[in-house]
Amino acid sequence: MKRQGTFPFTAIIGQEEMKKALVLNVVNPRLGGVLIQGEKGTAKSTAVRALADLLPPRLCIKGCKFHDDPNDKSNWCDECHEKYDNAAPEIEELPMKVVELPVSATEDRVVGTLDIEAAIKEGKRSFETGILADANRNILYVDEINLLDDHVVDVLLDSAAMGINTVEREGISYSHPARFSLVGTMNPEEGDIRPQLLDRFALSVYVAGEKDLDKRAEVIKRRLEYEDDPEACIKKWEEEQQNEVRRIQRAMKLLPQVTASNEILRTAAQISITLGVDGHRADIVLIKTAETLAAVAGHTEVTKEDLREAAHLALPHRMRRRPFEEQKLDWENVDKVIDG
Amino acid sequence: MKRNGYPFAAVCGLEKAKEAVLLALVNPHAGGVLVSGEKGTGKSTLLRGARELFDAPWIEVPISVTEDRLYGSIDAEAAVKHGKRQLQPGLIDEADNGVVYLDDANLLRDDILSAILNIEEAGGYQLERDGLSERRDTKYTVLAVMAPESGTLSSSALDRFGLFVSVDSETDEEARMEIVRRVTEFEKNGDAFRAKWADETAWLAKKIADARALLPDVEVSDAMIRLTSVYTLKANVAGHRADIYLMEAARAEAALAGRKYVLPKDLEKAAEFVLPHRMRELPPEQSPEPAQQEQQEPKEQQQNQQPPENDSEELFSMPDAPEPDETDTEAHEGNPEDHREDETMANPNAGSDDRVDAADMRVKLPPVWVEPVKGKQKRKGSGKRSATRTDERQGRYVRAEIPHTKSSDIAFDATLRAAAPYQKWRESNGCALVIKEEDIRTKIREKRTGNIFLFAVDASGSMGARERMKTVKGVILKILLEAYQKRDRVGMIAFRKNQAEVLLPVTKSVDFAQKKLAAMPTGGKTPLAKGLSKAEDVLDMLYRQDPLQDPVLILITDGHATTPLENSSDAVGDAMTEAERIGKRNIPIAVIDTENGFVKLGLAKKLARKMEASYFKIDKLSEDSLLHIWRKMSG
Repeated sequence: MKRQGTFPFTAIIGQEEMKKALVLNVVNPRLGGVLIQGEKGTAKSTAVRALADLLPPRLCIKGCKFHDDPNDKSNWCDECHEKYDNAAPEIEELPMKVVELPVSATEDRVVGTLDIEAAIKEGKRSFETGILADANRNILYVDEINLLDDHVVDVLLDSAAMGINTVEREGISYSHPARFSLVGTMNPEEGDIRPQLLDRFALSVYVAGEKDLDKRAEVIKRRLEYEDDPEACIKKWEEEQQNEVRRIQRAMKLLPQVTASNEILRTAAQISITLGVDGHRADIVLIKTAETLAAVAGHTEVTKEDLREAAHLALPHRMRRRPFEEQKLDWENVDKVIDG
Repeated sequence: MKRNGYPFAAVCGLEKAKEAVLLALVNPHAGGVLVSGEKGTGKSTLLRGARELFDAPWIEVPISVTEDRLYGSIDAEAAVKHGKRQLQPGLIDEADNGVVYLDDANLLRDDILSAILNIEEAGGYQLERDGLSERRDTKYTVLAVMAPESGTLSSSALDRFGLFVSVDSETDEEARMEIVRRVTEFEKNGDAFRAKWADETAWLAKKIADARALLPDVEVSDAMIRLTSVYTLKANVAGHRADIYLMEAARAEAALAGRKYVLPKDLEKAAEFVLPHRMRELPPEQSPEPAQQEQQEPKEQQQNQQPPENDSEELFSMPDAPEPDETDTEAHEGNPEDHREDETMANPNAGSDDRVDAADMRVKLPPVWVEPVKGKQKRKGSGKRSATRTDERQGRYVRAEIPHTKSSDIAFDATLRAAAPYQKWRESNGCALVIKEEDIRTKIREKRTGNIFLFAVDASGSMGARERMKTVKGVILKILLEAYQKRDRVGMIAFRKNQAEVLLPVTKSVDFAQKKLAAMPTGGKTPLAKGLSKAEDVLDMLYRQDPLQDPVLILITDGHATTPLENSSDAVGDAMTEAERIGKRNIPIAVIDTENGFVKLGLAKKLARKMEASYFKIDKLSEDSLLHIWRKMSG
């Protein structure tokens, strides 16, 4: 079956924060993902799926099941170490992918399982990779992540935490790299998300339906246009899409040069202390997000404005909260800290 | 896979945790370490970093581990190829003389966690699987991490960890900045960062190796042994494990300091890790008064006076002595007329002034909650299936068994192991493996469903009186807090005026439940019978959705029914009839009696008896051990 085209990312109206958060995760795959919360029909899933078209190609070791990065030896799988520790690996260019984890997925499909065919045909005990293998160096997308079975969440947390999937089941003992950007969408009315899983997301955004009448009309128009003739619609947005891809690639190139001054680091620490967030992840994510924002904006030094914007993306879901307390972020206080 | 993780030495702060890890690595007899702390404090990073400090097997037990990998099983490949019954060693076997690392120890299945801890203590286990029968000796050190917000460990599991450290995040600005600096530096160029810290890492590794070499020579004088006992007695610990761990940890302290003898300061330092998770406040000779709770047991047993048990665990399964009936004595004091005016008479005209009370969070819960249904028949039609085992193909694969019926959920690994030893003698059909019907094994899956708590709350005027609703809301909120952590589902029915309504359909969103609860008004008459019948409707619906669900009904009322069912005039009688019907369902039920004042009609108690429910008085709901309750219930 030929893969159907997707609605162009750049044709999505409004939802700027969501789009920004997604793009940041493409620019910086080590950022740590985003949770998109919002009511039904707010283009959450559309945006994530559309992101696939913007994903830039990156270098991979040819034939590696985990698409290992030839230049990142410390995160190679065992096979690559065995084959290429003393020889130059063959390299190919593959685009990043959006790998989807369906809510109904069973644990064995997620982590991988015993290869039945090899067992029957050759009597060999070998490992058949699962979704987490596919997700390495890619975006792992879970729609309705709040409805995911608890034990699947557990294994997800496990590999998200260390970037390695360890499998000890069904006679199989195997571990492989599993570093992915976790993207989740959910409708909060349908249930809570576990605090631990929530904390794993670097960023979180809330989306709501467009309130502006003209914009609403435009949403309908573009959707109809797309459904009428997807190819024509995709073509129409082609140039815009290309521009976005170039923007992303430029930012990716710039990112390694971006630095955060001591003053910025101090401000980030002060924000976390003021808000009383759990742990240190907030500070780290704040800085990483601000750096990525700076790269997207095209400068090499993180500014206060980058930090402010980063705070809006990285903090809302990190407030130390007792269950049932209304989660309120004191933006005035944050601004006060940033502006000194 | 090779792990080039963040170096142990480069972790900022967490000094206590670092010290505990060193002690555990130096002396395996110190009982391992459990590090507990909120998310994002770097506890996992630290413990994983310890791998490089110690040249020995390092085994991580993932949450998705299956039993065959944990204990070991037949090597199917060898069996197929050579027809040999040979062991493929399990993780705990491979860990011999090394470390077993558990990330999120509290998320591991209870049986797996206790097996790991028990085998560590025993130094080996008897393997009986797939036709293999072997004694396996293994000795390892357990390093574990847990985030208490996602659930706690049982006290017996806690007790098996020699050392315990609770960690917190840094509050110092400079320290936080340094953490961000180092982490971002590591993420940008891991290899360079590791190289920078290589010397520190090597120094620590040498320190551990030296201390390990010295350890056999470290002696403990009699005086120090006495001092050990002084510490443990003072902390009022259970059993003698603490003494051994404390002494061994102190030896490790001495070895790390390069000494061959233990000093009081070693014990003092070690005590910080060995005692905190074992200290108990109450002197153990008296069990807490079990009087707040009364269970409905068969008549003949109720007469049977039993002495209070010492072991608090036992409290939960034991029918306790009948509670001294204080209601009677109280009834003679005070003026009955006052009471009527105050309580009952307030109801009928309370309809107009609805009120909304805030929750009183100061309420305390009793040590015993709902008695799980035991020894009774399971609910209609549910057969013998246990609530956590699922026949669907969902849930975690726990183990395999010979199928009782035709099943499509084949455990291929187990089937392979069953078939493997016979391959040499079976006629080949071109495949390496010939599987016969008798080899087929199916998967046993387990799903942690969490409980369903259905609240039926009396929201009538009498409940509003004397701010009682505040207490009620406080109690419900406490239960919701537990439910939130355990991912339980809750539903709520409120009855007042002339009707009972489902205030909250059964939901996972405990947050939502809290909002509904906060806004719940009180006032009006008490249609108790209607409330109970509504509860039955919801229970029926839950059963239709999934017969394996195990709902718990919590009825909160003073029992003063004032509104009968349609076509009836006996409000109390109707309520009793409905109660009896619910009692037949054999689900765990708790009745919380909110009746107070001087004269008590004891209707809620009667109701509880009809329903075979556990019974509590709200004003007697006192102190703690909610965890026990929950574990018992979710058990």
